[in-house]
Amino acid sequence: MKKALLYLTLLSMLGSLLWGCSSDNKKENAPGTNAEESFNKEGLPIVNEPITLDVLTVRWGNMGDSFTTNTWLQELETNSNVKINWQVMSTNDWGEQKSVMLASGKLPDVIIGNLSFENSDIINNSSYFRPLDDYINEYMPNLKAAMEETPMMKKISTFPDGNIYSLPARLPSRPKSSMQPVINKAWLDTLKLEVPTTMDELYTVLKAFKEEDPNGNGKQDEIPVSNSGDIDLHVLSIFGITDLRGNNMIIKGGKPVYYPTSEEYKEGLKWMHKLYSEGIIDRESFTQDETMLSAKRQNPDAPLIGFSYQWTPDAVFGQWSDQYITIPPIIGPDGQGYQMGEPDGLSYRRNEVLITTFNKYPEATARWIDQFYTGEASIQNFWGAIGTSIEKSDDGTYSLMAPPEGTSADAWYWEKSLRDFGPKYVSPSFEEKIKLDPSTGDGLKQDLDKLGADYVTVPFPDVMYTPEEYQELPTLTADINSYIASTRAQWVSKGDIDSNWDAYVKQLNDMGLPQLIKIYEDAYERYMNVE
Amino acid sequence: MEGTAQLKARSKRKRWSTDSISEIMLYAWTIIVLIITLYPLYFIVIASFSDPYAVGNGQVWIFPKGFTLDGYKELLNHSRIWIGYRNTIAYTIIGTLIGLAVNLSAAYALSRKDLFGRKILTLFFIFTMFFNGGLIPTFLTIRDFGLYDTFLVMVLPFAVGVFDIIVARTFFQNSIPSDLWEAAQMDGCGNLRYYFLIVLPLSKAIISVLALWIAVGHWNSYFNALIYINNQELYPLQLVLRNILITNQMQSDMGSGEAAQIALRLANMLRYSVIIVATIPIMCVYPFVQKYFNQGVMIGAVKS
Amino acid sequence: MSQYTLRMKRTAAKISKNWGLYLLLLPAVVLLILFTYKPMYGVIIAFKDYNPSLGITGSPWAGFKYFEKFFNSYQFEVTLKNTLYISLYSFATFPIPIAFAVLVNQMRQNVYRKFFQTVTYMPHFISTVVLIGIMMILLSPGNGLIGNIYRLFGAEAPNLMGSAGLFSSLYVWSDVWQQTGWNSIIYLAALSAINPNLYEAAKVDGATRWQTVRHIDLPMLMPTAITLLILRVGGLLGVGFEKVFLMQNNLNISGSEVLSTYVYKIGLLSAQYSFSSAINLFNTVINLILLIIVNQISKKYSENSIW
Repeated sequence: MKKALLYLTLLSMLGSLLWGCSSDNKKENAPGTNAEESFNKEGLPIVNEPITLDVLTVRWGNMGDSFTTNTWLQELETNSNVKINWQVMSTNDWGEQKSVMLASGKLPDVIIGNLSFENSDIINNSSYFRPLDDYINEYMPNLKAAMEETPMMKKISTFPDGNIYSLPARLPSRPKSSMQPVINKAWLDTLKLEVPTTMDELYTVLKAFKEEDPNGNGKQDEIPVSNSGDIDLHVLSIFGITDLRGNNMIIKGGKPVYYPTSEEYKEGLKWMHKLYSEGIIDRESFTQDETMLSAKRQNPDAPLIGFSYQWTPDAVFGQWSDQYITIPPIIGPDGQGYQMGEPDGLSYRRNEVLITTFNKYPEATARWIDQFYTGEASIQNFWGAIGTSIEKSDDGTYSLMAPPEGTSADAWYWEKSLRDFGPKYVSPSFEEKIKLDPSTGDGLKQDLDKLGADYVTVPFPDVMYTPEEYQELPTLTADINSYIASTRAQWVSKGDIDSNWDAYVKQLNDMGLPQLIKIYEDAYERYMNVE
Repeated sequence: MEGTAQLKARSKRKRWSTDSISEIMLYAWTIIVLIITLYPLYFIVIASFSDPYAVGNGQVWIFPKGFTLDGYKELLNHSRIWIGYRNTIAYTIIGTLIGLAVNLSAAYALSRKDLFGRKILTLFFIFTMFFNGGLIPTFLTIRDFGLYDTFLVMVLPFAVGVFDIIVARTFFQNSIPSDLWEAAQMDGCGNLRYYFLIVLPLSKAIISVLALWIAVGHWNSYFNALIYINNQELYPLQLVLRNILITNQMQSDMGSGEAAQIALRLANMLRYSVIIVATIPIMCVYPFVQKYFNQGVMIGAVKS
Repeated sequence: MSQYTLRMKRTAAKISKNWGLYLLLLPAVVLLILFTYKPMYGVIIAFKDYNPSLGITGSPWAGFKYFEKFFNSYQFEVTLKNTLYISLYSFATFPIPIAFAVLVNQMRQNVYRKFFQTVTYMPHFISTVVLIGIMMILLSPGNGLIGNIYRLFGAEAPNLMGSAGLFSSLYVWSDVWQQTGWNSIIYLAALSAINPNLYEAAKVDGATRWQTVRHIDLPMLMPTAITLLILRVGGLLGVGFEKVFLMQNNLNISGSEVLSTYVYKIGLLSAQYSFSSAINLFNTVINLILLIIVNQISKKYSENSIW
């Protein structure tokens, strides 16, 4: 009897399992039922009968959907007859929600913003996304012209299988340099020192910062260099290491190089150990979090930090911002200065728009997106609409209006526009019509950029990998990068890099480093060969 | 021959010395524990009134530094927090009622040795503590039942807590004597009446513990809402707070520097005041629950 | 009547006699079938090359590929070792809430006791993010509490958060601080069920406080304690993600990389559904085996067992 009951129980468990299987992922992959009678190939409105598109976008943290009040967006909706149902997600939660959304077998019609889906998501799930090459040719004259004018736009959008699944953006008024060296000028003046230009001068200045109480409060509380989680890798740019993508690859002599096994990296770490052991680099650099670091940078009683790499000098220092200035890149042991950035300008983005296969109106959608790809549209989606954030003057130039009282400029732009995200194209010639105030924000950065522009290095390109490579990369990089980070922490804090170097390289090879480098090199080849 | 009174007096004196020493040690220990526990809590309170940068620099020890009410004022600015509060209170109250109903009754049933199929049923429950399909199939199931983005999804599908059931079952097994059931049966009492009219009133201690566990679980939860709720009007408090406090993902090296810094400052300001505001209500629940612990079971009822 | 029919009849009688009990079980059973058993087929993701656009049933089989990948990875030993070490260390602190409950129970019933109980269970409500933030501030060798104390003696405080060897201790003891009061609640509830007459009788017999505890309190707590202990074993390999992740840094990583953080890092570059599913399944199976072993032991030596 008991056996029968056991049998029955197992059977019912099995039954429920099988029943469960049937609810798995019923995809609705209906390829567009076209309501094409009302579609207009040119001009506005785009459709005569209004349609609604579900558009998903992912924004940083708590930013919310205030950008949908942007007047340009609203006018577009009225004029084009394409109503938008915005779905705004936060990066905080998106990781989990993304998995679930992909698995649920249904995506919204349009995806906007490069935070939403990564290269790997698109490549691994390409059946969800429409190839857009034909739509660009037929329905998107603005984008087509943009791609012809700036071939980079096409290059970064071409996926390893040769198709274009996502659309790029070229942002306006972007600098070439990313993070630049920033130093406390007030301290230099107090100690009567010159702005350092070489590595050795920098060392002398930092040592003086540490020992001679430049903030004048009688305590030796100055911290010349600090960071959180790791040392500031930008310091390695002094040695020629400018890793824009954060994947350990740089371009040297026109070739891709994996720098964590290079001599320059070794020399760089040795120098940083010297600084660390003399108290110039904060001992807590590896263990403190963002909160404690920002507390040091904005210490209420007196400034504490001497030197850092920042976008602009006023970015992180709060009330002490006036004391800091940006300086040209520091010249390293080989007599050269290097600046991390992009010689063509940090203007390009990919994966800014995706049209999913669940979209029933791909032609109308393509035309709708194309409206974004003009200069005037793009700047209104970067700073805010004309009349809100931008002022257009009679001679055809554009300038930025002051943000409302109590709001910072950057935060205002994020509130009023898609900002960094979404389709945009601002050609270099159009950029000349944009006049920015050089004392603040984006205008300031353009000005400071001049200090570093000549030293900007060619970065490892923003490559894409094949599905097979995406199978290998995660475990390889997780193991290898973790090891590199921990050895770096050990060597900077305790030194002794020379005697351990060979064992370190051997260990990396055992972990599969040659395989990893080959993947990077293959991806580089593919990227360079796209025409 | 000593009388009882003298015996008592003598043993009383002997007991006095060891007992009072142990009592002094006991209270000394409680004072130490109190200090160790209280200081970080006190720190949170004074930090919530201090300049966040002073706190981060370790300047706040005994008194607030850079006294500010900004942390609390900012909270008032975020209407979403109040929506979150409202939702969480609703989820907690209803979720606890459902949870108690479901888990206590299952626990009682499983505590009865004369339940046919007891072992298999217990295994049926335990199995789910280990094996579950994972996020994606569960999500698909919830969606297929039409529970996605509803109030119910927060209080019903995951109401079964096998851990709670096992602990409650142990309680029922050891604190409700089996003679009581036999006595009740003789009086013509059925299982259900017995459970509701006799067992439950005797189990106030375990009911309050379970209620506390379930309520706190609901109060702190955010993950289910993250996955199964899309409508911001249904967001629980913890999810709203997370969105404010977690800023470590913003990259300040792509030109969004200022906005990132503002978010970081907001998070720093709110970090401590948020704790105070989010946890005071649930902490007030404990004293009410506590009094049920002191009732004890009336085992004496059996003998009569 | 045949033997078989007779048995069937008797079984039916046993079931129908207690129909009320089955009714009590019904809600829980239904909920579990619908929301836990039904999705269980998802376990097979660990054995497939899962791709969301193909669905679970549509994805190709991969056999044990992901398990092998996990066992062969460089991090396998380190993460497993750290996970086990932290788990066992944490497990060893199991008696602390019990002792705490016993001691609190000895306190007189007054305002001070209420205050003490409320204060000690408050730390449980502090979110992990804030707890780690406070820990970092207090332990900062620069201007933290520990830094100031060392400086009083003219020394430089060590950077405790950067020590791989101390990681597990920091993790476990901060847990003890945070959870002891909360974890003792169930034991206090069990102690509250003790008939006060027993205490009276003990007092009359001249028992010391310690004797009372040994002969009345502890035996009363045993069933609950053992049950919780066994259940705890069943969660052994599940060292939580969030707290470790927040406490981790490049200096202590060799002592702080655990299975859950490793899985997270793998998934950062591209979603690794099958891989993480395989690791979770591995975790689960080990936990289950441990649970069965401990339960059998408990069955043999005490009367308590989960099933």
